[in-house]
Amino acid sequence: MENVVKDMRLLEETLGSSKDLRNMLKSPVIPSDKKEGVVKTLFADKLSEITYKFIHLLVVKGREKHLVEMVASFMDQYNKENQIIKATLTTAVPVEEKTVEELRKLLLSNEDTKGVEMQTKVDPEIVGGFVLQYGDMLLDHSVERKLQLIKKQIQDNTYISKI
Amino acid sequence: MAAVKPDEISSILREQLANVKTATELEEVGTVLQVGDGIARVYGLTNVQYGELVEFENGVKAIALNLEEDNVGVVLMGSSEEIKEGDTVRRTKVIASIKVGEGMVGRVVNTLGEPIDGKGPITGDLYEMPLERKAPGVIYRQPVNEPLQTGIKAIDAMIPIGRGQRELIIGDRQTGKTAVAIDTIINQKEFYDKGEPVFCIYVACGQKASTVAQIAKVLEENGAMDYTVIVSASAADPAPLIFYSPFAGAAIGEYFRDTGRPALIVYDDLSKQAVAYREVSLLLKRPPGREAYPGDVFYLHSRLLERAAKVNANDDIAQNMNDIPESLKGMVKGGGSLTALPIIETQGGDVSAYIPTNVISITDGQIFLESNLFNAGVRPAINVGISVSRVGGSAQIKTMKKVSGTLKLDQAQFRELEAFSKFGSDLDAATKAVLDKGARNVEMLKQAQFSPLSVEKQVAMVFLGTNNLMNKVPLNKVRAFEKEFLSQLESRFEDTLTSLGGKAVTDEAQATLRKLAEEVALNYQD
Repeated sequence: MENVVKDMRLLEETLGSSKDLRNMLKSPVIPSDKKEGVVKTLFADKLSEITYKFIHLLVVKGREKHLVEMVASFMDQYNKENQIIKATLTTAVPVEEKTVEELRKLLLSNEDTKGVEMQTKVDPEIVGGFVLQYGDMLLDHSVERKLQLIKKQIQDNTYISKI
Repeated sequence: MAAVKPDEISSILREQLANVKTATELEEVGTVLQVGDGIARVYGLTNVQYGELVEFENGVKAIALNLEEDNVGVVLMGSSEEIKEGDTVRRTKVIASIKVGEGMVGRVVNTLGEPIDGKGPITGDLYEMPLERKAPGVIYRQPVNEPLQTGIKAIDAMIPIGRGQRELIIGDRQTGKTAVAIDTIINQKEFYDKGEPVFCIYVACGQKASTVAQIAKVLEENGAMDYTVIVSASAADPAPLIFYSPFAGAAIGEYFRDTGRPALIVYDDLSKQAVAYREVSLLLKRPPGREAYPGDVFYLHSRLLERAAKVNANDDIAQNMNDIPESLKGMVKGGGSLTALPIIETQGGDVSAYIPTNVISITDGQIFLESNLFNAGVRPAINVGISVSRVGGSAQIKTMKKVSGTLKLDQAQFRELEAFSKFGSDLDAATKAVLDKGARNVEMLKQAQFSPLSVEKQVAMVFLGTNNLMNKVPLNKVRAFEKEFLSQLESRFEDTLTSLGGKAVTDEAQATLRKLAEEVALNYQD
């Protein structure tokens, strides 16, 4: 199982970084034996036997175009099973590793959480503060959000007739 | 002119901005998968509840109406223009509700309870009332026993409405349905002036915005806005706002009802509400039924109208009422009522269409308005023969019950003979007498718009009608006669007039009425 997870992480990374590979897999024009060749040279010695056989089966049966979704779905199920959550931290300027580590610990303090996959993103649009999103939860402490709240409350003028 | 100091300006600005709330907390979110036609499918929002308000990034609110395995269907309460795929949707953790309070009286609000009349924020204490709330159970109710005076002779005499009743006003377009409702609201001024106000709520549901503005103006001019709230969802508003507007009105009405006061609510009109509900249902891919309405359109109207009630007068019982909102606990009093006047527009007089039959079966009676009567000059154009009030009789005041007892039967007999007499010219004296009396009563029951009559004056007029005291007045002068008779009665025999609102029409009062009628009739003979 752990081997498969490792393989899936590798696949996720490779597929995520190479647009050409994704396009190749999705293309209906390229014959399956060509695809098989590509997959073989790319993954044959890097993946465990069971994963490689699975991809091979996909290519033979002409379902390789769904590989990206399958990998994502597998990871979702794995994370859910092991109570691992994905968290994204967005900040206006890059943050220190120490801060991220502290946040991770904070998230881990929840008893329903066994692991945290932390991602950091830098987005100057939020002006300042931070946005932390994990699962369906969102902690929005950005300056942008506060400005929006202020704007909304000021714009809401009850002295203008709307009928 | 004194100059304004710059540091003053900045301190005022700071003060104003200090009130702005910017605190953020942990929120539950989802992402938009698909948006269009006023519906959005949202992924995430795992813990959202049915009927909960959610908010989009641009401030547009929506209600979660479809909870499915992997997505949530929400209906937008605003424009879908700025909402994109991938946008964040936030839970608000409140089931759709509006804030209601005394400050709402005299205001025009939208379905969300926000003022739209440009008179500033709603003042005073506000209480959170849910849009969808279960109606009071049987134990917390009591039979209808007080009259709700409409000020319209034909209704108060023959189709009396009681406080807590649901009386349908039904008719084609342009038959004066809204006029009946507006007159009823205006007539409540009498009680407002007396210090026992009947709070009125007018729900404009899918009406033209110009119509709403006009109605607000009429109510204002007649001094009726002092005790009235208008809930407006105009035709230009999104369908969810339209079909929720009667629920918003009911929530406001329940506030008055549960705090022990009488309230009257007019739903104008429920056919348009049903159409808006159909639109939303079809877009949510719920299966269509008869006339393409969804299967629960009956439930939509029944649960709304069931909230009209007369609450038990005992405070202790009323305080235990089911589903009292948290914010209202401790304020509940007994004896309040919510009277509903739903309006339904028929197409070409067809009352056997789906929505009219549904609402007829739900309500405690109906007032039928007909376009041929309207065109013949009988206004209000009430067809007395098929209009009924199933509970109102016990709520009529005693004198009115006494004098109007035979009026409905008399008029039924008159209509039968009238149709019959059109074939022949030779009529015996008895038939002729019935026809004469009937025709005069039809004249007597006519009434101009915005001129409701007090119940005492109504009793006097109906007394003249049923006792055939206007037989010497020519038909075309009956209304002029009525005017003079009432003004004379008011100025010369005030005591008699007041006594007509009491327990019985005394012999003395009868004699006065007869004498005055004879006297005034002299001025109107040919």
